[in-house]
Amino acid sequence: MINVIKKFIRINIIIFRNSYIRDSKLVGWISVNILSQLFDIAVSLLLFTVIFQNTKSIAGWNFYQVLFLYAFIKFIGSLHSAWTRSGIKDFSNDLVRMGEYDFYATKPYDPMVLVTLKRPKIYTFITVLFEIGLLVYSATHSGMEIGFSNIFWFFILTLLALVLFYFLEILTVVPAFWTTKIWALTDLMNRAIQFAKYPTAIFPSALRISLSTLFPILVVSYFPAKTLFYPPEFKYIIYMFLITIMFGFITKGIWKLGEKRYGSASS
Amino acid sequence: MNIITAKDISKNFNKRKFSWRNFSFSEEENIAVSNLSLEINEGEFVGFLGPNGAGKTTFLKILSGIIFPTSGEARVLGYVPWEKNHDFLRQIAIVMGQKNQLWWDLPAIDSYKLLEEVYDIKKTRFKQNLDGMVSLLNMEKLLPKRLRDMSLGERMKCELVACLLHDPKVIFLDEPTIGLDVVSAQNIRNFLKEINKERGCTIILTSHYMADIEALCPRIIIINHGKKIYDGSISKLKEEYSPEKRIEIFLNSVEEKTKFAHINTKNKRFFGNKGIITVSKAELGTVAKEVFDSFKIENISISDPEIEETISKIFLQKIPR
Repeated sequence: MINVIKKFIRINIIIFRNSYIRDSKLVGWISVNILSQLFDIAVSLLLFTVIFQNTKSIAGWNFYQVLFLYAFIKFIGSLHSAWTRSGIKDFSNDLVRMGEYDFYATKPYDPMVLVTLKRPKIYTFITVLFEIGLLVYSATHSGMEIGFSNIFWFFILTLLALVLFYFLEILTVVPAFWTTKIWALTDLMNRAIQFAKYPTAIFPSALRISLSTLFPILVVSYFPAKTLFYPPEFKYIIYMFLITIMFGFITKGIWKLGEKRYGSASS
Repeated sequence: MNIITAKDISKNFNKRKFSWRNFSFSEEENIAVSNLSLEINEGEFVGFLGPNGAGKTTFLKILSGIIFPTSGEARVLGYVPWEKNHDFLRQIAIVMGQKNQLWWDLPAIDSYKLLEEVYDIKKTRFKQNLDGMVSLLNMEKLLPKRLRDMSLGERMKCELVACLLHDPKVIFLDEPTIGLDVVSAQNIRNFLKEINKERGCTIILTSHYMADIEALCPRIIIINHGKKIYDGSISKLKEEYSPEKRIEIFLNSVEEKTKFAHINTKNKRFFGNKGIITVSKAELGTVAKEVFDSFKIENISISDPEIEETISKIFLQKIPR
């Protein structure tokens, strides 16, 4: 297990270094991307300010707590955007269609991981830094008592949230093995992420249950945030462990089925 | 020792189509490979020949584990390829002339470092292999160059190096010289010959260029419509399928052309200023005597038919098996 992790880290170091070499030539593109991300954060902050001028709390959560929730899902999304999303996008658009998955299928390393690590956007990590700043700012201004056990479980659940989010993203593109090209489901997921910016109690129960079980995007943001602000509840922690493992098996299983269906492309 | 065995491998690609007229789905079946069996020994250099769409690349992809067959069994290095055992994948390599595995925006050396990690290649071995191949292919100046700034021939050199860094025992090459100029193709051929000799690895090559096959492959397998129609050496192929000889005469004048027209044999034709006679070995003595009596010796040549000619006859199924 330690060797697997070590190898994963070494591969990531090389991939990030390569990404730096490649992207350092594209300063204009990087600057526009970062500025647009920051603009998005600014607009959302403005929106939250307007909402909270009309109400003191949303489902019992104050302005800074909701801001934390928003910053948290942005942080998870940006981390994936920096690390795996371009690879996932390439897979859904080109790798199956053009038959370039052939090279990943013949490597002695998990092709699902290798594909998703294909093209990180290292400069998106700058946005991640802003989001971490926003997380710290909102947590410290929330007025909630945050103890050691809150922080400890929050970090554990954040790791699980990252992994779960990764599986959900893969699940939206894995049908490409059957359809050759697909991005619509990822677009749909991006819309579903909007729900993850608010406390779950504001949603109708059917929607809340669906987005906590069938497509557990609410679990990704709400469970870690709740664990930070309120006394950690083990039913949430265990649920998050179980659902992450379950989605891991589902994702991997569907990927393997897809590989059987893979027909490559003519030469 | 057999390093590759395949038994009755078939691969069908099914496409479902919806017809609005009948308001129903119909299935269109395309047979890419049909009951193909073969055995390949360790260290062999085997050429796969066939027209476009014959099933060569599909078969190669099945043997390398990229795609699953519809039916049949195969073992490569003792493994079932499509089970994708990592120990198996560490011992094979695939190069596709029309696709790149190296990062487009990066120098080749950066992609090689990733491969070093993925294949768990020891640092000393990696350096030794890289240095050896770089010097053999004379590509010292290519290593720091970005892939997108390279010519097709340079890119292919880099791709070949990438596939050999981990000392694969079996190498699948799918048209590695496609689109290359004569000199680059020759360089690649020399390199492959050297690697096969030096490392004793098994190489399976598909190519449309007979020059590749003739220069590299003592054994060829011809596939058409997904079926194996020949397996053996080039010389045996010529013997079996084109047992004739070809007499070519350079015709300098109208008088010589008239003489050529009067030679007593059926299979003769003009090709520009050349007169070509195809004659069976039994007839060769009689016809050759007549030719040597009628024309200057320096204008006459006798040879086996071109291999392309024989193979195109097989592709067009003019020769019954």
